[in-house]
Amino acid sequence: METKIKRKSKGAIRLSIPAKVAYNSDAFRKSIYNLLDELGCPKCFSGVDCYFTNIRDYLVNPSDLTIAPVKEVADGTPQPILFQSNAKQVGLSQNAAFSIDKIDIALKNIFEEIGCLACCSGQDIFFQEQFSRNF
Amino acid sequence: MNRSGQLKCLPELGVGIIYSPSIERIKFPEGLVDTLEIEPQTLCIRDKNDQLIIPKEIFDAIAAMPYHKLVHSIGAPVGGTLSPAVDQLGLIQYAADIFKSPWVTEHLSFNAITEFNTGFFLPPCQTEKGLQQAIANVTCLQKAIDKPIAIETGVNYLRPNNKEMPDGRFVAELCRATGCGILLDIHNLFANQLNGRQSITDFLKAIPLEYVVEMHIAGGTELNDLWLDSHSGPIDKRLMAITKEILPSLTNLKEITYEIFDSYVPVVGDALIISELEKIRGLWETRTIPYTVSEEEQLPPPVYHIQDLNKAFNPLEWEDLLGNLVIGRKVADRFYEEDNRIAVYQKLIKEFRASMVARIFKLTTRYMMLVLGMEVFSVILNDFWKHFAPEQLSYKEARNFAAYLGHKNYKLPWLNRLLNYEVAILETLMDEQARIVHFDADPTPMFNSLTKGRLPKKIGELGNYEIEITPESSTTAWMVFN
Repeated sequence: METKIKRKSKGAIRLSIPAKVAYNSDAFRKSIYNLLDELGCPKCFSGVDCYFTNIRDYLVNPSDLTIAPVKEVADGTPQPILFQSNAKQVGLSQNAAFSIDKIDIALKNIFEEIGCLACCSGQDIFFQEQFSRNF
Repeated sequence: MNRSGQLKCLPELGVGIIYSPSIERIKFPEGLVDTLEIEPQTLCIRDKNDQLIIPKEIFDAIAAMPYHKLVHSIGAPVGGTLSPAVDQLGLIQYAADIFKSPWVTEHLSFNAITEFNTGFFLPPCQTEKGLQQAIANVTCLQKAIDKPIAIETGVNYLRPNNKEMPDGRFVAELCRATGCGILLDIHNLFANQLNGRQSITDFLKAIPLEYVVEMHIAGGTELNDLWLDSHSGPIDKRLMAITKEILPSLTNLKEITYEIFDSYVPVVGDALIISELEKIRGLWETRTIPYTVSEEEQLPPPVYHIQDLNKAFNPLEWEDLLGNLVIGRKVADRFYEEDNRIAVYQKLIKEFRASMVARIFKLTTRYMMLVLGMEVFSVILNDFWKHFAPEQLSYKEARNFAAYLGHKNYKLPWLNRLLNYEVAILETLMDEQARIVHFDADPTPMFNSLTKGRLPKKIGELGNYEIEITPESSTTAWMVFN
């Protein structure tokens, strides 16, 4: 493992991490090409990239993550299931109930009320209540 | 020797697969794969002066792998008004030489207009003027690259316009004018037929079959009643059957490549990929044996969803219209404005762009989704896309998103801390300069929790923390193309 142990530096606690390890916890096993593959020009493709959807579904319910689901459709041709959590999936289309202006104002108001505290993860009930109230 | 005679002399390369790191780690049975098809642009980035640069040792390592190699370029598409850039031509030639690629393939599409990249391959303007443009582009490639060029038949999610050439005729005229070969993407033709464009049979009747040197085959998915060229794994059995039927007529076919997109590799698993390659191996081995599609393998009868636009676009006008529409910008021209096919392009581009950002800013995007919820995050992404056109390179798309968030200056508790950290990582990966990122609390609980897809139950201890992001210990030799 290339990550160095925490050490003191001018009073600060410093953790030293190679960039490729920081980028991806598995990256220390990968060559720079693996990183280029993600950073550079995506492959030739004209369909739907499921990466974002998979992450979104994973976050909706991490315990329900099931990789390798291939679904048999009506004509007998198996297709990968793109959307694991259809009930919760909202897609990337704009929802009329939400607008960027409302979001901007809600977040600004929260900041004025609670500040930008490192001790607040965002998950805290206090933050979530403020967000709901301001939204 | 005439051009079609030159294509006949090309070597047979058997069964191939598109190369990527996730493919490299699969343990294929011996003799299953003969060829790796390499997209050289995916190995490149651009330096601070926007010069195309490649890590030379990576090309050397791939060249040393015990397979044939084919260069499949995605950087100089021939279906648009923008001529191939000089640096792209240099890269393609370099890749063709180092990989000893007997021929080089490119796309009959466009993916950029003068003002911006579309982030996606789009169909060419299939009018007489569009054909002349494609002929000029292919000729330019042929002059610059000392290998035979074959052009890939593309997918087109739009309904055909009654004033455009049928797909097969457009390809046929291009071939006859330039002598270029054809990379027959049979899955693209399959999608086109299912989506109301020309049938596979009619397409094949139109083209000179002796020009077909390579075939692409892949799996697809359905979305909004359209069949998508998703490269998603399992190959439709109807596609397998019709491919088996047409193979004996492709007497000059040299190779069949299986396409699978990286994001689907963990979804479908290695075993399925191997099993699909075994089916393709079967296709290759029996390619001269006649086959008739059975009743249960029949495709639905072709339905041509022709729309009477009664307008023969010129290439610039077409690219400007389509390019703006698919990224969600308003256009003066009313054509296609309410078209649900445009909406499909828009959705695909959005998913593609969201995936680019989520791959690079893994912590930031997870944090925003978890804290704000999916709907709010979607609205923020949509607003970002309104203000920034797509980028061709993922890291540029990610940088734009960082700039957008910086301008928004949202004071979410950990947003800027995480974003600053991930921007520093990205910049160190790009310029190999060490950076130090400061935190006012121990960030490791947040990092660890987000990696597992959740927010931390307890935040790290408050204090003065620094993370030093260091570059690779080895020195990467970059080759510059300009």
